[in-house]
Amino acid sequence: MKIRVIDTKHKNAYLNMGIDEVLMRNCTAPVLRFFAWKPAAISIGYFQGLNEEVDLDKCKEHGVDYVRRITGGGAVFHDAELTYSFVIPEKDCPEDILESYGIICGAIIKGLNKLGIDAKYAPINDIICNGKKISGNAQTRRNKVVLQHGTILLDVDVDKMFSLLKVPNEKIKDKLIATVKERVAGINKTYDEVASALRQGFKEQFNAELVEDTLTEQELEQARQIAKASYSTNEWNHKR
Amino acid sequence: MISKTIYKAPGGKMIRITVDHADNKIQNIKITGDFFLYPENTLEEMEKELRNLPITEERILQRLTDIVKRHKITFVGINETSLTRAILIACGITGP
Repeated sequence: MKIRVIDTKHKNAYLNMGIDEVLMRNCTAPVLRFFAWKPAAISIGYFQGLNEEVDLDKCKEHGVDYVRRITGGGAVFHDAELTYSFVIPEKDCPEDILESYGIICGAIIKGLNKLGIDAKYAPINDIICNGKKISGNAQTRRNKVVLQHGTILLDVDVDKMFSLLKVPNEKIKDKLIATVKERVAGINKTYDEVASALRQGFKEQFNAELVEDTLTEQELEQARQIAKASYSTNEWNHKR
Repeated sequence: MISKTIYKAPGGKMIRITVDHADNKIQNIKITGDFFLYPENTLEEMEKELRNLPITEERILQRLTDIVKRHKITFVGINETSLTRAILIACGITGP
């Protein structure tokens, strides 16, 4: 198997989601993409209510973007992190969703192990180290293509995260923040170190040859159009 | 009457229900949360098909089971039983 590898570095939230969608739409062979978010952004799961999860005024005040993903799962504050996406034809991946999470997260874990991080898969969609969450992942399937994207936390600012996210019960907010500080951690490595280690993890997990590449002008233009027509619109982001 | 609840599926994900109900029937319902459901676009159909349904455990579970079968839905982190429970709690039929 050959895996096309693309590192698109920092992009805004709408373009990031547009690029993932383009890679998924055009997928005929596996693609591994690394990226980050500038400005920092919150992404919410496909089924989440934007106003239920995100303090939109605080986001505007701090210059933080917000976007709805095409994948389910929870709200994520994307700041100091490496994000990856992996698209693969469904025929090359287990039909069972949980099994495929395990295999793709397995590639991440193999990569993190190379950095000396004792990472473990915590079903359904987390990766932990010493009992703390260091990575969250989400998967969707459309037109016989699997997309899994996820985040590897390099550093975490829990207080900032909670100033932007709404909590179900304001009365227990402090307690919740304390719990999250105990249960979530960054891995204290650089973007490039992690991207390099994950390349090796995917190479081993899928017994693959990696082909370094960039987005084509056509792909980028298509992604810009999707970002404009969909991910940056109120219609999409306020959908639920 | 509009009521809301947040319910965590046992060993799974969070379900938020906002339900407009009257005369022991669901008028309108919105299901949100951090769960996974495939194919994603079937959730709106599910919400539509729950309208006008009498609020009993049996009827809700039966309808959800039927919807899941017809639309070939796969849940991850929730299931028909936890969704039913969340709806009943939101309607005040049962405690959390």
